[in-house]
Amino acid sequence: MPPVEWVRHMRQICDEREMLLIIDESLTGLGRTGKWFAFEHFGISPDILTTSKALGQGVPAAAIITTEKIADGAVAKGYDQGATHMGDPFQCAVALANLEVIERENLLSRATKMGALLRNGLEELQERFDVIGDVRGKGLFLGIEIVESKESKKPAVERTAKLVVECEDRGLLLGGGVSIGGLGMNTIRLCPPLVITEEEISAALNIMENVLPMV
Amino acid sequence: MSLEVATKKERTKSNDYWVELDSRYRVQVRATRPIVLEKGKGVEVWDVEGKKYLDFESGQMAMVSGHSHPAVLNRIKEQIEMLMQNSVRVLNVPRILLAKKLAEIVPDPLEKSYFLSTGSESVEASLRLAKKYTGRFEVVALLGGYHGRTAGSQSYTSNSRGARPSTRPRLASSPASVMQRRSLTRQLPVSQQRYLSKLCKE
Repeated sequence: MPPVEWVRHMRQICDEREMLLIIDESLTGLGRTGKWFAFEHFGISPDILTTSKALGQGVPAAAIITTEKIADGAVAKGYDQGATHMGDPFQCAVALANLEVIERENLLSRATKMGALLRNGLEELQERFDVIGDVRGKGLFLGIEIVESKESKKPAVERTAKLVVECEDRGLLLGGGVSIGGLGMNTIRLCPPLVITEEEISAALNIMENVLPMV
Repeated sequence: MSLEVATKKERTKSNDYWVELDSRYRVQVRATRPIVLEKGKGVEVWDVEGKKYLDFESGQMAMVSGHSHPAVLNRIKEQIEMLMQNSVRVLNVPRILLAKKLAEIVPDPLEKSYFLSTGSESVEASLRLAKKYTGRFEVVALLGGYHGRTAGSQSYTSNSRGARPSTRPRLASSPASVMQRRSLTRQLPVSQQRYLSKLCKE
């Protein structure tokens, strides 16, 4: 998570120069960080917000959300956008059902609560194992960084890959160990569904605890 | 038991069988682990051999409500029997209700939605919208950001070291003469606040 001041400063610069701020919440949106959207943690708002992945809950669905001023202004200037699946009744009905589930089952507060539990567990592992250099994230959007040692802070790519594979072999699917986007080669993502239970968090931490001495 | 002598039913219960078929018929990108998933429930998923996993990647980060949530499954079944799609000339009720719902959950002044299918598409659409509204074309993108792998969205994607590993050349949506003098997509180190100010003063 970037510092709050940094994000606010970015918003301020955009305002001063009449630049539009687009925030892409494909990964972070819809409750993952404990709020509907992660930008809410910073007390700012984008001019255009994008949301996808979790929106359709397995059905491909994405949305851009903007202000009335920008939406109507762009259309007045001739903005046109088309796609074969631009809000099919099927896509939208499923997305709506998903938003209702998030609301009805209080998954935002659940992400905060379960995220804190998982984070505490990861921080305990960090204290015990020298290869965990950092634990970071918000809600159930968590990551750990694997290093050769806390002192050297040197990214440990092979150890990361080994940790992921050994956890998988023991029944824990993780994201990481590959270079995609912002997910570094030595970063592991821990982002379970928000409906996760305390028992499932304990089970996952147990697997990691058993694997960590091997990497 | 070797795959050759196994019966068809036995073969389909084997990860190896499907991995071999996959390697023969699918372009071999991503999917580096020989795990072939078959079903999921909540946080748990099972492979074709019946081995159970805790899914700490939520599918590909999409299953916030968990796999096979009953309320979502019910709505899928209901809507399949009602209507799957309509032409771009007409409206449908779920789309109007979803737009209204999104307006309710986001803070003001965000209010109007437009729908697509994937994250990459939404990034493309948001950039087109911003360009049309402002009449400008230059984009500042964050270092280490992932926004997709389509021609436009990959131009704003980079890995953690700041390299943009995408297929080059990147998007050139501006006149070539302008592109020669200024880069369309600039990278912004997250830690350098001053750099952002400097970049925008140029």
